[in-house]
Amino acid sequence: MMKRILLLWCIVCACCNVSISQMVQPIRLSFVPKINGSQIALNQHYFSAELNDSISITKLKFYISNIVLLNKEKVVYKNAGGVYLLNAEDSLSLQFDVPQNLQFGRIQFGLGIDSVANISGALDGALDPLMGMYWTWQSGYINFKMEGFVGNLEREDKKYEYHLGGYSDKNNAYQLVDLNIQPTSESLQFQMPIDIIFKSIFSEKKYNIMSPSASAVSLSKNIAQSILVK
Amino acid sequence: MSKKQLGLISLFFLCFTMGFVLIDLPVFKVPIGWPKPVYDFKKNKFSNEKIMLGRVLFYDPILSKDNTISCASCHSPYNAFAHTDHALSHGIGDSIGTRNAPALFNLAWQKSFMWDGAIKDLDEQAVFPITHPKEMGETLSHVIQKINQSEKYKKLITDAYGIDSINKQQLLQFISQFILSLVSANSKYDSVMQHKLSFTTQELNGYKLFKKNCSSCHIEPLFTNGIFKNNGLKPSSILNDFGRMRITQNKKDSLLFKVPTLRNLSYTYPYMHDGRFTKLSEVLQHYTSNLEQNLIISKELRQPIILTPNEKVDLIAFLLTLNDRSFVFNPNYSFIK
Repeated sequence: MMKRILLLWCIVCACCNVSISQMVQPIRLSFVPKINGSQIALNQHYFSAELNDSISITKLKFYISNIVLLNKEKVVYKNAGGVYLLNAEDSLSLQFDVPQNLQFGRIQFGLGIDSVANISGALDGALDPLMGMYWTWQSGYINFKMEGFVGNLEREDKKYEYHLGGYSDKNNAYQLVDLNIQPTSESLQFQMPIDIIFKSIFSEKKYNIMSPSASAVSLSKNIAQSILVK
Repeated sequence: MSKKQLGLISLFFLCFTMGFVLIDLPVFKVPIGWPKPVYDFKKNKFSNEKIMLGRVLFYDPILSKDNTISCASCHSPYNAFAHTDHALSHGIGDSIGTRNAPALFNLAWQKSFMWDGAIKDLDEQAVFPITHPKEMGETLSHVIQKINQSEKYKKLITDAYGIDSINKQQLLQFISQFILSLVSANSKYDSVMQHKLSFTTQELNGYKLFKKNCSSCHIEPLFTNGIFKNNGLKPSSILNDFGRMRITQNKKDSLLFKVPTLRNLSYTYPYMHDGRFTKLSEVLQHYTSNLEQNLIISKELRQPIILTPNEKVDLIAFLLTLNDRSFVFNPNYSFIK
């Protein structure tokens, strides 16, 4: 009798497992960096109207975190604790699982990592200092890193380095993006017009922002606000 | 109780007490099989208080002109005290220097400091970044003034010495003490050498390739000979960095830079004095195919280094055995909250 109960229990468990695994579906988010409306690739030269010069991007890395899906005003899914480091060298996309048949029409995510993640002491996965995004105990992490050259020649004095980050008080550069999306899309593509960086180089006459500052906050805000659903 | 018994008991108590005294005194430990340190510990005796003061100072932006940059800004503990993914050093006002911030560990064995050996004594080394306009842009006098006015330091200094202010020499010696305490000798390679672990077949093959092709400059166990070499890098026309020649004013020293250690490479990318290579495969590509052959290239590189693609993979597998995670995440070295 006991054996039969055990067998029945195993079958029930197996069925539950199958049904649980069938109950999730992947959602994929992709980011497409653009200049003048066209998709860019690393280490290619593009014309920047703002700088009236050719520019290249040698590095583009940024964090996406705190992803939330909403159905109108109601939160239907939270990707709790999920921190993703996207690197143009590999892929500017990420994937996570949500319950199947989830109804949603709006997404929120953080560009960068929030102050809690900055001081959580989690030093592995996407937050491993090996990833080259960790600043110091005082400044936390870089949220968004873009580097490249202005002009056709890769001259060190024409290199721009935009390391945007900072998590405390007025220098908190973390940005929340909130967008309406096509209902229950499994694959979401976001356009990221990075010309904004060149506007900043032009207007601030600065090739480098590499520490928490008002400029880093305002530029982070501009980048976040320019992200659109494709 | 006989005199003999009394004598034995006294001896036991004496040893017991001495044992405590010895345990209490911090001693610079030389890892098994390593050479004698170069640093003269007699002139700056190790003490827990000095190491602690040095550690607090190392992480304190008070050393910079605008109180924004600390030593740890470019020498992060989690990056083996280098600056991962940053080619050239950063400084106050978002300025960029001209060289890659080197990793700080095993410096007790180093004869000179900086890529060009500009500094001979570790106790003078910190002056350079503190006063450099593109690093901390401060003066030593002002740093001393700020420290001596700080209540936090007053307490630390008083607790340690019973005095309420420090001078420049003490400041530099405290920083030295903390930096000297940074010893990385617990990699897989070290365990293999102590017969506690074994290399995989791939790592072993990589080790053989290392011995054949790299070990004339990157001498074990420090993986550097501390000497200046021209490793065939094409100089940048913008940085105009001629290395050792700036110090000696001797043309023979043009484009010579100090041989860096190969320990903790995963944590310390990018590589070379100007951080031009991000990946180890790029470094091997340079040594096997892209050397700028000229009259002054170091003699060790005049014969071509030939490695098949598989051998390059094996060599990198060996180099990764020099990573020391226990050093990188050692709580004794991190910022004191």
